[in-house]
Amino acid sequence: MIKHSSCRFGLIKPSLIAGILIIVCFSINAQSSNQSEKALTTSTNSFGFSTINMLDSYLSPLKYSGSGFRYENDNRKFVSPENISLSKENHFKMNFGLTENPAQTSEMWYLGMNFSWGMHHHFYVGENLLLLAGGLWDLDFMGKTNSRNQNNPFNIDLATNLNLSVEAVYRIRTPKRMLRLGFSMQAPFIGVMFVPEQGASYYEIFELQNFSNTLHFTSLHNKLSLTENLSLDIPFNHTTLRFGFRNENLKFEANQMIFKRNDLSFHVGYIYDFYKFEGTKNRAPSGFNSTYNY
Amino acid sequence: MKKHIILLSLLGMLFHSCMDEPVIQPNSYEGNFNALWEIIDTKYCYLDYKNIDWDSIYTAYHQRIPYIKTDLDFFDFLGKMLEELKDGHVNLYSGFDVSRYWKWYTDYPENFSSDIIYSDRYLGENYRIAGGMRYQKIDNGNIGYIYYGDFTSDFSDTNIGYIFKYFSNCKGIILDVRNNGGGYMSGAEQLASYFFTEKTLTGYLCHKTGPGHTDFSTPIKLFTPANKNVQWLRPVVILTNRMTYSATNDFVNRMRKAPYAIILGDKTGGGGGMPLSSEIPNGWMVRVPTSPMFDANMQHIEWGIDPDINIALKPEDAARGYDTLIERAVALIKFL
Repeated sequence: MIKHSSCRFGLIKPSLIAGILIIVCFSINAQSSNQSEKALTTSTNSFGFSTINMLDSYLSPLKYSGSGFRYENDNRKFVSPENISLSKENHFKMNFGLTENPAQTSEMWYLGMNFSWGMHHHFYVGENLLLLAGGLWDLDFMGKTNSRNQNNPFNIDLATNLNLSVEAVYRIRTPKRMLRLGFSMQAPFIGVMFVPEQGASYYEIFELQNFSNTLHFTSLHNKLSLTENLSLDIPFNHTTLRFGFRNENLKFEANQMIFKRNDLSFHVGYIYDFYKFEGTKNRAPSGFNSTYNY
Repeated sequence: MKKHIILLSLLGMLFHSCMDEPVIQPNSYEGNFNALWEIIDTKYCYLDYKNIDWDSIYTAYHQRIPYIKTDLDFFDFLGKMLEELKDGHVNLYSGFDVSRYWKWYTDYPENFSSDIIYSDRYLGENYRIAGGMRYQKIDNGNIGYIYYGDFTSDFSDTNIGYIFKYFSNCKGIILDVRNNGGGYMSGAEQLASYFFTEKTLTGYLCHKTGPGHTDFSTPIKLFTPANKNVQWLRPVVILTNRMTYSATNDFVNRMRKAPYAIILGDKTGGGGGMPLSSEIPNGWMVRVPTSPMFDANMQHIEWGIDPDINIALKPEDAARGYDTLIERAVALIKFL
């Protein structure tokens, strides 16, 4: 039987969390052998439009602004079906767009990608409020190209970070449906990033492979970032839609240069739960027809 | 919990105010002047080497700003200020003009005539072209002559292999890089590699690391490798003039260490600083050298490279359709 674990949302009081944790810790074998409950993966695919302004002091001393598109895929599931206080997740974000300098005489294209993996602890507060706190490890990449530049035509923001993450979800009961209002914040606190030296040409860096002083340890002293996400989930008959605003602020300093990126986006997504049957040990039970395992 | 959320938000705002952002000048004549002056002051790599007092240039030029009435005048004014650097790699680009400093070659004899090199005595009408190189056998087939005028024209080992095969019965080749204003640095290294028998230290490169006039990185060694596929291990004479500049200047510097090479002609034009791009608030782009290059003895090559044999194009030779430099190179190869 496949059971949607999140139906327990709000039924467990905070006072029981410690007890649940103990049970979780000492009953791993029992859980793994319990085939009656499954942890579903909640997946969200979002598409958005964003306005962005950025400062890349390696490419230009001026702030560029413009707009672009973003796509995001989020997957979250409980670590085990019995333990509804700890979830694991992965995220993939991609954004691209075009910016211009204030005089509109130069363009800068950007393409960004971010992969992250992490875990959250779930705190059930009252009947309708859920708080999550956890951490994520991410790989962050953004390539930027200023086509009219010579010998410094592109730059790469490349970093890996450990992020703190908090999230609040509030269920709003209406006569027809249950809405979910969510707010999350995420900030890196330690990591490593690539930043070229201000006078180094791409020829020296990439062709002569002189990477000296391009890798920097990061923490709150030289890299500050905050991502805020406000969303409203509305279930309809056949789908659940998410509408949201995201505000990403990033600022870092290295090699006596400041880099900045502010991205405000509106996004629309759809949410669904799924269970993954795979391999030989976790095959689909009878009644599930597959084009692959026919 | 509400308190925690507010606290986190405040922390976020605090974080964002910790690092001071650079001041962006307003888009006015004053602001653009200040921005350009600062770009040169913090990024240009030869202020100390050329003994330029950039502060006094600020004083001298700043007082003229109130008299500027049009963008055209302002552009010329900024162009004049950049001329003080005496650097062909420093340019200001607007939508209507490009400022430039050309005295590094206009104040000197040209020592080159394209009419002569395309005459029947040299390239003629039936010269061959491979990878941007125009080549022909001269002196009754005894000498190979290559004219390469632009280091932005790509070439491959295959191109060069065909050329060297075509010249296989020649005693030596003349590689003419006069009027070659530069292009890709990687091309300079690749072309030089065909004339080396082993990986050789041929120079150094460093770059500005900060706003101070002496903020430079530790110089890195520039090696010229020996090409693994194609090599010319017979005499090669490199012809130079003052318009031999930038990446071509680097090529000539590398060839000084090639075992069978002789540099012949005029001193090269220089251009030893690799330029990066920046811009001022009105959107005009400025090109600024930030990475000085040196020869194998850690000497700047910004002002050019002296040839092994200094020789000029004689007017009487030119009048007869002879290129003095090519004729001397032919004689030299025959003598070797």
